[in-house]
Amino acid sequence: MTKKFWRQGEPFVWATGLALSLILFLTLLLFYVVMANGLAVFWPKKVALATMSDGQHLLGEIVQEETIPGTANKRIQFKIGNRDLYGLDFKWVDTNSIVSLSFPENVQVLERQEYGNFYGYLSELEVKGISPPASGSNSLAQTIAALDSRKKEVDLLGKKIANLNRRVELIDHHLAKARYNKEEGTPALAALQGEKQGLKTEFEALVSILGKKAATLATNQAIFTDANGRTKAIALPNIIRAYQPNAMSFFAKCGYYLERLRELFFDEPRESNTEGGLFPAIFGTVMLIFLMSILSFPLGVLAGIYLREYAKDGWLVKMVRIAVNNLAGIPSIVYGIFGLGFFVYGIGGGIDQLFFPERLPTPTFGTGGILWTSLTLGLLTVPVVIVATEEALGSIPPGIREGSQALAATKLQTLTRILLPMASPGILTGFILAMARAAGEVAPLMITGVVKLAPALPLDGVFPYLHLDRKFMHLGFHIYDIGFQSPNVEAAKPMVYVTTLLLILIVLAMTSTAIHLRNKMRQRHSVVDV
Amino acid sequence: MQKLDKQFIKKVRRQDRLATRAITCGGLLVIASVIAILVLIVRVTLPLFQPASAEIIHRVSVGPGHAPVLAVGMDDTQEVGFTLDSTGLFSFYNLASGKAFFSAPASAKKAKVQSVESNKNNVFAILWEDNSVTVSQVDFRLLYDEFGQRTVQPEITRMGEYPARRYPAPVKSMMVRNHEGRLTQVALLANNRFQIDHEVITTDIFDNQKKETFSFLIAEELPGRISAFTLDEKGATLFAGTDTGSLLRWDLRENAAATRTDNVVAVPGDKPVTALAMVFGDISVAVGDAEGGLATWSQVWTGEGEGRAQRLRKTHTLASHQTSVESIIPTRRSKSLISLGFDGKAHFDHMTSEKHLLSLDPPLDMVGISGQGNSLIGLDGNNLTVWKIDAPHPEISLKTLFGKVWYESYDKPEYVWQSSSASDDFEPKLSLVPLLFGTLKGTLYAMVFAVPLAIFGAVYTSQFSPPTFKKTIKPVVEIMASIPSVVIGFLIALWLAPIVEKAILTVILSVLFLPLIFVGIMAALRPFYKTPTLQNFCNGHEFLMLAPVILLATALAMGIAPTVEQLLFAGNFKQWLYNDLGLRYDQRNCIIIAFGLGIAVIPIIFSITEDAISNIPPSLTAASLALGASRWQTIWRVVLPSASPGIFAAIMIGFGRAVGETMIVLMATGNTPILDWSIFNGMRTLSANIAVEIPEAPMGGTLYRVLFLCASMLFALTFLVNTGAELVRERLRKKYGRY
Amino acid sequence: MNDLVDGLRLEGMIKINGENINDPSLDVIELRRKVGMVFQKWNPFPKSIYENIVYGLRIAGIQDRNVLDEAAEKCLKRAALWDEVKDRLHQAAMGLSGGQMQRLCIARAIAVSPEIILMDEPCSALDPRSTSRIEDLIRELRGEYTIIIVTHNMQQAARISDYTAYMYLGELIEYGPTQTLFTMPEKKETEDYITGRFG
Repeated sequence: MTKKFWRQGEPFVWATGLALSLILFLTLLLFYVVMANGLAVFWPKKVALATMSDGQHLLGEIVQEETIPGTANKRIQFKIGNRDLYGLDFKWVDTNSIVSLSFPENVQVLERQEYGNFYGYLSELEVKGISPPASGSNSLAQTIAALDSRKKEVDLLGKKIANLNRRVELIDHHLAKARYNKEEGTPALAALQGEKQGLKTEFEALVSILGKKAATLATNQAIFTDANGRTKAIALPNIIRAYQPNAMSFFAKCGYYLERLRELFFDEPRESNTEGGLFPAIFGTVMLIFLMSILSFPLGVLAGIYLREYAKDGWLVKMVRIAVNNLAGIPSIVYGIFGLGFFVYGIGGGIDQLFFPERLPTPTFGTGGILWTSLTLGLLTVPVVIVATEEALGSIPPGIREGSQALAATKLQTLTRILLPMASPGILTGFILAMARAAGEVAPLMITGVVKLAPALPLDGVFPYLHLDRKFMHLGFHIYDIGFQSPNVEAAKPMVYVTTLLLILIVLAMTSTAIHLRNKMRQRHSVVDV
Repeated sequence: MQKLDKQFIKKVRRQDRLATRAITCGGLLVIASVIAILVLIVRVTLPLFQPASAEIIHRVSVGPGHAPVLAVGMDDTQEVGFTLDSTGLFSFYNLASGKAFFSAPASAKKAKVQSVESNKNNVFAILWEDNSVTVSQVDFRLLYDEFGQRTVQPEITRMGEYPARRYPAPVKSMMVRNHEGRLTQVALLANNRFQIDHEVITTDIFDNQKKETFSFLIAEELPGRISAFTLDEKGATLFAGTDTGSLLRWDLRENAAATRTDNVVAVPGDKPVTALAMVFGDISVAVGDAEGGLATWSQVWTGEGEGRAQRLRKTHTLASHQTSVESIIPTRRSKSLISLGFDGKAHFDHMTSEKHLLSLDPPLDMVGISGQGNSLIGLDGNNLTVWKIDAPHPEISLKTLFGKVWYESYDKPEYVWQSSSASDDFEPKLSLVPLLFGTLKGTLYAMVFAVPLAIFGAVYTSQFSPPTFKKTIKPVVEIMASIPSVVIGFLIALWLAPIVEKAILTVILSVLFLPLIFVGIMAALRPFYKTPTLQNFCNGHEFLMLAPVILLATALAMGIAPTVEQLLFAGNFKQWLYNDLGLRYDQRNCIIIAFGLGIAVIPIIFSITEDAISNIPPSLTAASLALGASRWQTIWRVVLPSASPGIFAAIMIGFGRAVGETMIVLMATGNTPILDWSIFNGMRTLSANIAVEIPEAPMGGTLYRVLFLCASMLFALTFLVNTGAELVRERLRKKYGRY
Repeated sequence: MNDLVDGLRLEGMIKINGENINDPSLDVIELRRKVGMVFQKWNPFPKSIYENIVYGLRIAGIQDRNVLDEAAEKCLKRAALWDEVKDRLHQAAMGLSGGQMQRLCIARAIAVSPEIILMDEPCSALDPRSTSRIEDLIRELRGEYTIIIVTHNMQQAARISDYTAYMYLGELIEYGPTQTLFTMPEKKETEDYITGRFG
């Protein structure tokens, strides 16, 4: 019986089962890590006050605890923030040297424009220009809220100045063009120069106003003390958010979480992308996928229709079919380098020579930009769409085509009235999967136009509104960039997890839609097959 | 028959014809353009292998009745050429018109030139017959008039005039000033001795400048008569060749004395060394001999332990001349050399690639080169000829890309990838072997991890799991496939790698424990396996029941890892690895990569295998089961053999994906291009190499084209693998009549 | 439409009203208007019953709702399907039974009013009950249209046709009135076949 057990191979069956559970385990682990780390980032953590055996105090969030390698002792990693005071954000402390740990309610956590978080106690508010705040536990938050409108005013000024700058830049381009075409001295040019002068004076006036306003705003400050009583004055406009996590109720924490989510989706990044929002990256990603779809969907479907319905079946078509199938498996970096060589340097360089010679050697289109990136990604997804279209059309029984043609329908009529409606779920599925792939693709973007920090969105209110030559930001690249290129990786990690979670959710949503669609289609097709 | 609208029918037909045409054109166009990718990528790489070419652009007569010319040269714009004749007169010629438009003496004195040596482009040390020396530099200034018209204005700068020394008349003299201001003059005397003079200017703390001179003779016994010598740009090393074929090297860094560091036979058979020149970068010296041989030598570490020392070794042999080599002129932008044979043939060679780029035919008396090395001027009789040289990528040959190359400052020929460095005279090392190796290494480790898991998992899913499970598992795997690689890369590099580094022993132990525990459980289950309750319960749920095994193995490994580390590895496994096995542990290593790439390819292999197995007609399995085979026997003997082409295709496609994966390897390998199979360190793959280097590569440059070559290799590799897999799948589809 | 089939070889000639249908200059669309076709395997479009019927009219450019409605009703009635489906005209045609779908295909074919209807083994995939209904239908329609039916079923051929042609391996062996061909065939092969000694 024993022999039979092994000979019949029952253990091998179990071994295959083990392999499957390992795969599932890995998948779940992956998702768990992303979810656990990503979801917790915005939840306010308690701030601990540790009293050390040497009488010093330490204030910070507990990040992790581990056994010191080679010993039985444990140590705790604190995020102590206050980079401007201590230099480092994180600190390891031996548990043996901690006398006591407490969570005082009046600890303030400040998120600042620069130098990261601040942990400390509020000792004094120096406020001018607005009515003195009611003293109390959240007087700081109230004051900051009261200053909000003035802060916005300053921000608005800043935006105006940036706009002016862009207009000046545009005029400069015109001037350069005129100079290049040797049109100096024409009245139009003089007008331009006049306009530029006007803009410049306006610009200078605005800058001085901005300077004054910002300076007065910055006189509003608060004095804080850190765990060991060191005082630090922080200008209120520098504080983005102040909260007392140890005193917050569950609902207050929820509110804080939502506020951070809003910031994530709609605000600009701060502190070299490790804080603040992801709006430009989300926008860039969506716009990239959109542009890519405009390109690859019609072309891919067209080629697929041609291959399946119009091309004469011969060895050539067979070769082409195999080639196209293969192209879907070519590494994305190859598409990337092709995009660089062909689109950016080839076509982009050509456009510069033809249309913007006055700006050379500064390239306009001859450098990475969203147009080239989306073309490259489009090329990458076209084979996938072709294959999907072909398969969807191929799975329609030939009887349907015959039936339609027997009723004197032309090929086009058969195609538009019968075949395409029948194949559309399949095509759509393939296309959504291709989009999901494109959304997560980073390697080809890195060399054709994605950047760490884009000064302006590719779509804005300045003529001609759609700036296809601009570089852009992207969620996937954001992960790579802040996870691997930022100077302070430890401090950047939470943001990377959030971005990762967001990207995974986007891709998952697309993939699940596609799978759902396909299942629905299969059900319908099974009836056709009867 | 119903009445039909003729107009409408006409319209429909027209539309149909139009659409047919449009779809055909569009379809063909899309397909053609997609396939054009390969063509375009390959086209960028092609110039790498194009032979160099030279084209005569000017011929100018210097006219008869001219004093004998001792040196020629030209400017970068290919507009002006010049000669230096034996009266010490520089004459400049407008190359386009052929007219001499400017001339100036090198020195005010009227004397005859005895010899001219040049160790830098257009810098000439002129030894007069009266034993004094003048160092002159020829410069070209570009002047633009108000119409933007360019003219080239030659200028002669007298860098130094040195009065005659007391010693006997030298045969030849060279002179250089290093960047610290030390002036070194080396003169070969008629009695086969070298006279060395250093002029050192020192500044004391009160800013008083003091000039010191050191003068000494190298009086040692030499293996033969000196037939050629050269000095590096710093004046730190003197190379000399003898008429017996010896190559000698002296260290001149000391002010008061010279130390001979080498004495090697550079030319076998007592044949004289006829020409010496330092290759750009001052590390290698090019040696030409009377037999026409041309080689480069450089200092290499040899020997072991105490006897370890730097010795001159021949590192490259270049194409030989038919007759003795008369002179060697190094280019000042790359490691290329121009050598002139006694028969007047000029050769253009590159040292690193040992590529013979060009031979220039008309017999030439002497040659000169422009600063950028893109044009060459030669004198034959009374004619100056100017060639435009087109050799954009002399350092690339199949040998430098795929073979071992002896780079400067390396002990032996090696495969190295190092594309750039801070200095200009850097020798690019563009061997693709470490990259190919890295690609294969990463891929292989990943496949070792992924293939068994994916195939076993697929077998289980398609054959043993209940249909409802199958319906859930497939989408789960598909979702796994859609995880962006940047996410996997980030997780394994920043989350997994530190964990594994801390607990490397735990990881190794759990990999060992997992099969052990599994076999143990199997053995324990054996007596009960026929029990109906167990069978009912287990059938199709084995994988769920086994999930705890994984946790158990991990927990066990975690529990005993510290003890094992204490007992076997003296408390530190990584230290032990390094000390006892000589393996360095990198945080980003192949374990991490195998895991990351594995996660990326498992879903692909899994789904294709699953499809292949599911497409086996159920009648086959049913027939086998009906004959009394167990479910595993059926799988092993019937299903797997039938599905094997499909499984092969799955592995191939997975391989293709792993080979080209960029972000994961970029983030988690450390990107060091090393040749080492160790699982504990990283590598650099072709794909990551492209991502790392392309931002640094100027368009059209050598690196740029080599990166395109990397891309075309990746393309070709994946294309071949995928085509193979596709053909196999096609056959399988036909065989079982399913699409 | 034969172009859809691989490995096809054409010999001989088929003439309709004196026109060779394989003449390349002939407009196939025009031809297909005249010749309707019903296939061995029913092939309704994945649309509603109504849309299936009026498909031929729509692609001929008829938009008028009344005309279409009228045609649909008329054809379904002619195909003896009206009573079964009149309440669910706008439901998916795929939901019908095999016999109903085949009758739908016949209705679809007569909707464009062809002169000839070509039926390629219309009943070979059907059960006897559905077969007899289709045969009834064919008998009913033969007054109006020329129906050419291909079949392997001798009884069926004898039951429903006026003239019969026996073809073997692409050769026309014998052609004549059904009565004559089945009772006293002229050729030996025909006799072998109808008496069951062959085939």
